This record gives sequence, structure tokens and C-alpha cells, in this order.
Amino acid sequence: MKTKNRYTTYIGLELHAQLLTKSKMFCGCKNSFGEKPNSQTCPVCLGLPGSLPVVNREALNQAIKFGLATDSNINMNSWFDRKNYFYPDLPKGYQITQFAKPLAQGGVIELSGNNKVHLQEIHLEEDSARSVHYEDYVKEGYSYLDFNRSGIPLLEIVTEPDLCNSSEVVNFLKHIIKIMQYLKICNGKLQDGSLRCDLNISVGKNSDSVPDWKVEVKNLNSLKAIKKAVKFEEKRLIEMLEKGMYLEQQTRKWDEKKGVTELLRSKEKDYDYRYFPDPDLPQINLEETYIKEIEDLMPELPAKKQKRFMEEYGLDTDSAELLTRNQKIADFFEESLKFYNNPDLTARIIIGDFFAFMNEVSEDFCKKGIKPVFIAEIVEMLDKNMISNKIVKKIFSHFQEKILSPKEMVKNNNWNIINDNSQIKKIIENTIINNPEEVKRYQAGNQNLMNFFIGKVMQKTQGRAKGEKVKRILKELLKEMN
Amino acid sequence: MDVYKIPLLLKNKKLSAQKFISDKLEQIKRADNRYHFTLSLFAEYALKKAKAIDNKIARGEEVGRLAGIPFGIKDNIAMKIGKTTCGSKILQDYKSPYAAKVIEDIEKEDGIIIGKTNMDEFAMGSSTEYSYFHKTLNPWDTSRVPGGSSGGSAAMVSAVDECISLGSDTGGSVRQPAAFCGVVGLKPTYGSISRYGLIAFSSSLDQIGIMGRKIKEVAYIFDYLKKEDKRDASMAHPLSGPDTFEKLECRDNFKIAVPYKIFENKTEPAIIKSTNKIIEKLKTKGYKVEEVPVLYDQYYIPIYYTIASAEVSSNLSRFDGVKFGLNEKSVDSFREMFVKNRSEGFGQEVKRRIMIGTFILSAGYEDKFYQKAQKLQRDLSRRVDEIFTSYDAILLPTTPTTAFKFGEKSGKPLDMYHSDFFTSFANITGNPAITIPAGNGENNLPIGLQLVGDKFREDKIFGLAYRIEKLIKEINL
Ligand SMILES: [Zn+2]
Repeated sequence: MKTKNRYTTYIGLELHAQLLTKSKMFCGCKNSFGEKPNSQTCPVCLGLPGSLPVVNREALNQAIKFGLATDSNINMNSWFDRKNYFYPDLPKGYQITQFAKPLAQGGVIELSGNNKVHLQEIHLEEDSARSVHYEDYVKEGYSYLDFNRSGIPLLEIVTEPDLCNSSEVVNFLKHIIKIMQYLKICNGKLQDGSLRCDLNISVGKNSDSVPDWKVEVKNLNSLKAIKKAVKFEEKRLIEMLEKGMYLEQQTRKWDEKKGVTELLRSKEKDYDYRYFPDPDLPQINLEETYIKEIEDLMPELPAKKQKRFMEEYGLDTDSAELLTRNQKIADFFEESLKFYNNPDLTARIIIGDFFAFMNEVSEDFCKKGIKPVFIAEIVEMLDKNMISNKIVKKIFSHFQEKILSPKEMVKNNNWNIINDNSQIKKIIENTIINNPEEVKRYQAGNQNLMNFFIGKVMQKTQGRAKGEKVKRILKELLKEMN
Repeated sequence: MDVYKIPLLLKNKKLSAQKFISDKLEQIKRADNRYHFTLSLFAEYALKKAKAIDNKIARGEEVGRLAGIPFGIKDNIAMKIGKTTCGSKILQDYKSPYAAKVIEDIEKEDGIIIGKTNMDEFAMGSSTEYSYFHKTLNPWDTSRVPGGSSGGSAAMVSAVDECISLGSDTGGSVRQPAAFCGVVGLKPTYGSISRYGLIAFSSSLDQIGIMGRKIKEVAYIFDYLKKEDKRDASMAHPLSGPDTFEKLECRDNFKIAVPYKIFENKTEPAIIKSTNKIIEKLKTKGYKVEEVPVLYDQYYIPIYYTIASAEVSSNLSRFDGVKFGLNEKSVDSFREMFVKNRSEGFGQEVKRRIMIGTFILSAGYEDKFYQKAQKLQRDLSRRVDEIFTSYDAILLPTTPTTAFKFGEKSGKPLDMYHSDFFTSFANITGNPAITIPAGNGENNLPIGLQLVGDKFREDKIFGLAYRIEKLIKEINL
């Protein structure tokens, strides 16, 4: 631990986000996942001779949105370059990307605790084909290529080495995924490769400046893997430094099964990609009005929304964060308030019972058929003392079978709170009579048994009595008996 | 018969498409046996198309505006029928699953594609000697080259009347062979004919061009091929410039700029003489002909070869043995697959250009070569635009020499590159340029006269060329 404290870790990320456009980056083929291999292809994305690329405006707009959302400087003039190299998954022998003049630069993402991560640049490029080595239909000793992925628009995001440890990396990624989901530009699934993350990590003595080498780690397919890989690499590098070993530029691959990083290639002998402006594509020249139009269409972003929830609805930081993690949830929350305005209680129900019911905040919770008005009904009934917290749980467990209005559910099942004191008293008296042993022990001083009695009464009333009331009457009766 | 008359004759039932095409096929086959200008011939396909036209006419239906016109297509333009080889071993069996925009347009207008024509491999060369398949002979003198790289297209139009051919022109590849074979050759403004389906040599210089025997024929075809295409982002949107064919005879007060000083550049005396004779005739006919300074002429070849080689080194990277190649199976690594396929598949000249281009683009040289060439390109283009504020055309020879002998330059790349001296500047600036036959020089070999025009104003150079075409008959060249 002490050793670790003498070193600073510098982590930068290189992200590739597949944009959620209808068509591919430079052709009209469908941009979709999981189709039959090579069914979504055309001369352009197959790189057939004579075909020409045409820029997908939707992809450009999505990239601009992300640039704006991260306070980047959008370059009014940028262009596409060719990155030349040979690889079987690269149909043209070059990738169309932005090198000399990216779409945007100098953005910043603010994390909690005043932690800022600076973005070096954001640019557009095309994805390569997918090599298939493992699936059933692949013959032994062969590799197959699926060009459905070839030409899918990618947004590359390069950060400065502003991150210092694994949890910062994970927080940052969660935040950036949230932004992309809000903007509806990427679904951010690391496991599907719709978001890919390479780590650039280096370690130096606290007193030194950022080292001039870094280790690049690839093949990270989940937040968990990223967290583990950062920790592993950090430890490995510090150990090497402690031993006085010389560290150099390397590319490593995370092996999930073994839980280690393995050397892919050491010190790239400065592979020369022979970048030059793609002569097939005109430069991108943007106008202020065009960017303004895009800006006007942008949704409220998570950080801003969270702040507004705290100010407008008086929510605490955690609740506001939880409710704005996902735009659908945030909208659901605000929609529900329109039917019954008790933000605090609504937040509590959504974060507590509703999240538990949904197991986790998933994208398709709307499909389950729970409407904002249902949450409002629950909140209203609770707020007006018409039902108890126990009944709320019951309502949600009934949702598992059938989704219908909680008000109706309460009415049909006669779940409303028993306000008739004599009725409750009767049940309590029966409880006392039926548990003489416990009564004795309680009266002998075992105060903890109060909860036992309350539980019994609740069981009898099926949660329809108010806990405090039951407790008060119980106390009175037990005292009287004494 | 001029080709633009064919659709009308068919419509008026004065001509049967089937008869015309089967005769034409015979004529082409005979000529091809002597000069070897085709790489493939689509006899069956052409006859089928001809029959369809006749049937349409018999049923009283409209036929397209290119109906019955026979076309030869340079083999670097993608077609679904036959092969698209680019004159290369690496594509010797390549069948394109899609057709180029120009092919779509020709077929839509009922034009009849007869075959694919021979070319220097991937359009690199000035003699068609660099075709992987065979040589094409110049119909004027079979011991000489037809020029290149569109040598097959030029020889076909030269040897066979009543037909049109398409070529591609990156540094003169339409105009130089047209001049060598004594036909008209147009390189339109960059961005006026879609490059979609033209297998790229140098993307920023390539332009599909048209060859025919008469100005009017080429103008007629140009009007139908000049069409917007969203698939080619380097095209002008929207396309400007008037139609050329109808207006060919409208204007007769052209102002002509002549960069006399450029003529003296290892240029054959007969070519200079012929050019000057035409200039004198124009003057006596009252045309305003003025000398303009020569711009950057020492840089044409360097700019052209820098840009073209850089781009081609990247454009040809896709021929790597994965989808295209020689099916070399005995390889142990990707690297070996790439190296083997490319080493075996490409010819000498192509490799030379790829190597030059690879060097030009290598890290550390960006601003020394490619960027510098592009800067000169922009400057030159601006200066040329200025000339066109006062003039309708720049007049100069098409080539420094007439057709040379086989083998004369094939071992001397720099001599070969010099063939592009007068033509490459219109590619560098993107201006339209046309070559017209301007008499014959030594050994009765054809000479070409070149007119370069303002961007998207092909109508002006067509108009002037049309006048000159008539005047030439009055001159003893
Ligand atoms: Zn496609």
C-alpha cells in the first residue's frame, strides 16, 4: 500500500462508439446488429473497385451532438483522411478516418467531486469488417469475414490521461455511456462491442511528470474487465518500476479468463499509416446556424438534469443521480409528478420499490406496461394514508402477474388501511390472548418482543393497519394487562 | 453517318438496330483482329439489345436517346456483364456485381455496349503497352502505339466508324491516345460525369472522357452522360453549364488564349507548325487570339505524378488477396498473402507508381510532396480561372509527339511521362479539355490540337472546336 502511494497512475481512454444511425457511415446499407453475415453489404462497404463513399449526415450530426454535450470545440472545417494499412478485415486497404483535422477537440467531462476529464479529440471514422474464427459455421482452419460491420459509423473519443485509478475509469465510462444514451447516439454496450474501450496507462513517481511511454490495453469487454485490467496493469507496472526496470511503449491484451494482460506487440516500430486527405470526399464545412439547429434539438443532459432535479424537486444528490441515470426513468419520474405532485415520495417509490421490481433500470421497462400514473396513484394513496408501505410491496408483487391501476387493485382486494380502531383492537386482543408466553416475557422486560406482536398483527391484517397505530394500541393494552 | 443520327433513323424505321449492330459487330471483329483494341466483345448481348430496340419501335414505343449507338467501354469502368479487368492480371477474372453510373445511363437510353477496350494496367501508361493482356496497334501505323492509357478506346473509334468509346483521363489518357489515333477526345470538367464505377487511379484527377470522330458526336453523348449522381461526392451539386449539342453552332465570337512559349518543349516541329497554321487561320477569320503567359509549366509533370502516385498507392491497396487476387493459397501469414498476391498480380509500371506513391505519403514527407503539390494545384487552378475571365479557351497542342513506336519509351518512364506534358494541366486544375484532329505530321501520323475551357463550360470549347473542325478542311495541313 505504501509503495503504491509513491506512484501516480495516468490513464487515458480511447473509445470507439458505434453510432445509432439508420445507415452506415459512407453507404446506404443498414446499420444493424445481429443480421445474417454479409447480408448488409454493398459495393461501397465491401470496398469494391469503382465504389465511392458519401458522408452520412446523420452520423455527422450525432458526432456534433456529442461534441456539444462535452463542451468540445467543433471545428468548422474538418476532413476525412485515409489511414493506409493492410489487414483482411479492412476491405479497401485503408480506413476512412479523421486524422489531421478532427471534427471536435478540447472537450471536457465533469465527474462528481470536481473531477474533470479532458477530451483530446472526437472524430468520425468507419468500422472494419468482423473476423469470425469461432462460430459453428466456420470450418476448421479457416477465418471468415462478416462485412455487415464494415462501414458502421464510429465515433472515436480520445481522452487526456486525466484518470488516476480504476474507479475513476469506471465512473467516467458510466458517465459517458449515460451521455451517449441521452443523446441516443450509442447504446454503449461493451459486451457487444457497440462501445469499445482501449486503455492507455502509465505509472510514474509522484514527483515526476507524465511518463513518455504508455501501455495500451485492448480487448476489454465489460466494466468489470476494465476495472480488473487497470488494477492488474497498475500493479504490474509499479512492480516493474520498483525493480528498476525500464518501461516502454507496449500494446497488451486483457485475458479475461486468466485475469492478466498479455503482450501483443512491444514498441510499435512507428507503423506508418501514410495518412492523407481522402480525395473522394469533400471537406466538411459547417456553419454556426447548422450547429445551432442541432443544439436546439438536444435533450437536457444528465448532469444538468440532475442539478435541476435537486433544485426543483428538493431531491438529495443520490436520488437525483439515480433518477437521471437514464432518460426514460427521468421522464417517467417527471411524468408521474404531473398526476400527483409529491416529488420526495415519488422518488422514494421509484428508486425503492419500482427499481426493485424491475430488478434493475433496464431500457425496456416501459414494455412491462407500468405507467407513470400508476406510480402517482400509489404515491397519492400513501400520502393520504389510504394504504400502508406493506401494501405498496403487495401492489408491486401483483404487478408481476397483471398490470392494472393500483387504486383499482386496492379497491378490489380491500387493501385500504383499517381506520376503524375497534377492529384493530379486536385483532390485537386476539394476538395477546394467543401468545401468552410472549406476553409474559414482554412484561418481564423483553421489549424486543414488541416487533413480534406487531408482526403478528400485521399478518392478521394483511398489512392493512398502520404500524404506528398498532404499536400504540399494543402498548396500551399490554400496559393495561400488567 | 454521325452517331447522333442513329436514334432518329431507328425511330423512323429507316434503319434496323439488329441489322446495324450485326454489321457493326462484323466490322469491329475484322478491325479488332488487326489492331486488338478490345479485351472482351459482347456480341450476343449487343444483338439482344438491338432486338429489344427493334421490338420497342415495332410496338410504337419510345426508345432512348442513345438508341442503337455502339459503345466501346474502357475496361476500368465497372459493368455487370463480362469482366472488368483494368488491364491487370490481378483482376483478370473479376466480374463486377454492379455497373458504373455511365453504364446505367447508356443502358437507360438504349445505347449498345459492344465490348470493353484495352488499356494500360490500371490506366497507368501512355501507350497501352502496359496492358497485362496484349498490345493494341495504332490503326494509322501498326508498328506504333495507339497512345494510352485509353489506347483501346481510341484505336476502336479510329478503326471503326459510327461508334463512340469511353475512356478515363487522369493526365491525358483520353486526349493523348485520341490525338495519336486521329479522333476527337473530350476530358470533361472534373465532377461533371460521375466517377461511380470508374475504378480509381487518382481520385482527384480521374474523369471519364468520350471519344468519337466528330465534335458533334462527342457533344451529343456528353449531354447524356453529364448527370448528377449522389453516389459521387466529388461531383458538383447541382451541375451547372448548358447543354452543348443544341448550342454547338450558336456562337462564333470566341476569344482564344495561346501560351505560345509552352509549345517549345521537346515538341515535334510538325506539331508546332500545324498548331500555328490553325492559329493563323483563326486570326484571318477574325477570331481574337492573344498570347498568354505560361503558368508553372515546369511543375505540371511533378504535380501530376505526385498527386496521382500518392492516390493510386492507396486506391490499389484493396487488391490484397482477400477479395481480389490470384488465390494464392500456399501462404503462412496475412503478410505473405498480401505480398505474394500483389507481387504476382501487378505489373512493373503499377508497382513503380505504388512505390513512388508510398514514398510520397510516408511520414515526414507530407508537406514536402503531397501537400506541396496540392498547394500548387490550387494556385494553378486559380490562375487558370483568371484566364477564363477574359478568354473562352486556351489553345495548345495535345501532345509533344505523334504516335511513337512500340518499345520506344516503355523502358524509359520519364520519356513516357513527358507524353502528358500538354494534357496533365487540365487534370490538375479540373478544367475541361478536348483534342481534335489537326492534320498529319511526319509519316502521315495524326496530330491533335487541344482546347482547354472554363469549368463546366464545355459548350464553349465544343463551339470553338466545331468551328476549327470546319476550318481545318480549308487549310493545307
Ligand atoms: Zn454498404
